[in-house]
Amino acid sequence: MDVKGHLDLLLLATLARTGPAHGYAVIAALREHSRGSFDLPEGTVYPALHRLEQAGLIASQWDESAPRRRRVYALTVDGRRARASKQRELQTFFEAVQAVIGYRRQGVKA
Amino acid sequence: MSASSRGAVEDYLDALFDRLAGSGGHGRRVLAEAEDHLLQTVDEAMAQGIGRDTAEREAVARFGEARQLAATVQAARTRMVTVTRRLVTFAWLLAGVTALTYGLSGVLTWIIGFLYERLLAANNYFGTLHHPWYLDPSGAKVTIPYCSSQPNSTIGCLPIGHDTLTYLGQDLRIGMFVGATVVGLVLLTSLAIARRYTLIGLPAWTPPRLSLTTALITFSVLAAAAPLYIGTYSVITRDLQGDVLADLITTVLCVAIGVSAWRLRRPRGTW
Repeated sequence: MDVKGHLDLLLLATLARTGPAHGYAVIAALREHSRGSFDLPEGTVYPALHRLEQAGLIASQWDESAPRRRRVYALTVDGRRARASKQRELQTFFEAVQAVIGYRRQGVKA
Repeated sequence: MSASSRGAVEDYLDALFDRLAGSGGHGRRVLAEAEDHLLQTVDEAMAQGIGRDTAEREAVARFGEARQLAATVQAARTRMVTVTRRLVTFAWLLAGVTALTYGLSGVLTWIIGFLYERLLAANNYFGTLHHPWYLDPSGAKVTIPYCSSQPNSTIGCLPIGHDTLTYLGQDLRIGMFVGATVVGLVLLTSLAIARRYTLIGLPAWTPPRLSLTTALITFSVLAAAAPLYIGTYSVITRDLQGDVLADLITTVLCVAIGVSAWRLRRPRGTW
């Protein structure tokens, strides 16, 4: 499924749900929460995580406690705000699309 | 690297390493994340009974082409808006450092010059004076008592452009130095506060450490070169009554900036 345009929100929402997590866990959680619909390639997710960090929406640090050193990502305060804002935008968009689709269906039926 | 990373994963990491060359700490981070991710993927696949070769090939295939990943990472890192933001932060810092260095060199010279002048007088270095501002208003030859009665007036305070500005008068000059010092302190303090409490503190606004320290070292070397040469030449020729104090103080300040930047060029926490 194409997530273009919604990847940032998906990653922010996933981190909000999982709490601090490394890239592998984020990808796995995204796949699990979407019931397999969003099985994104790593080459897409990691650059997006880095971009979100650059924008200050997530922060990261090395987790030295794991057997292998891992970069763990977490939402920042700005990230939480951005997630809420993007979620409202998307909700409004879905409602508008649904209204249009419903109107057309009525038209077809008529 | 563990045994499970050999084969396709190792080849992939080598390819990624080559393509991320020159990307500094960010590139090393991408490599470390890729290695951890691939090894975990391979380990989990093998735990499900898949052979190592197949697990590695599938893990690498999922990760995407190394060339494309490196290009995406580099592009995200060097977007024009990011470059512009970092230049703004760098210009802010450099303006603060320049103003503070300029102002502090004059203020310190003015303060130390009071003692320096008396040291020269005590050692009879005021025998022959050749700068116009050493002459008293009547044009008569300057005497030691006259110099001693004019605190700091015989010391050229300006490390830069003193030939034109010394004629403006001592009060104006020290006022300029104090003003520059205050401006430098305000710029650097406001930058520190902005980085602590606003978006300016984010990585997107932070110049890469190596670039920043290299620029500061370059600045200090260039700014110290002329006063070091003139100051040293003055000492060698025993022309100690001119701007030698200002030149040497400016040199010391620039060297201090350069040494600090040199020591900060390697990460010891977040800049």
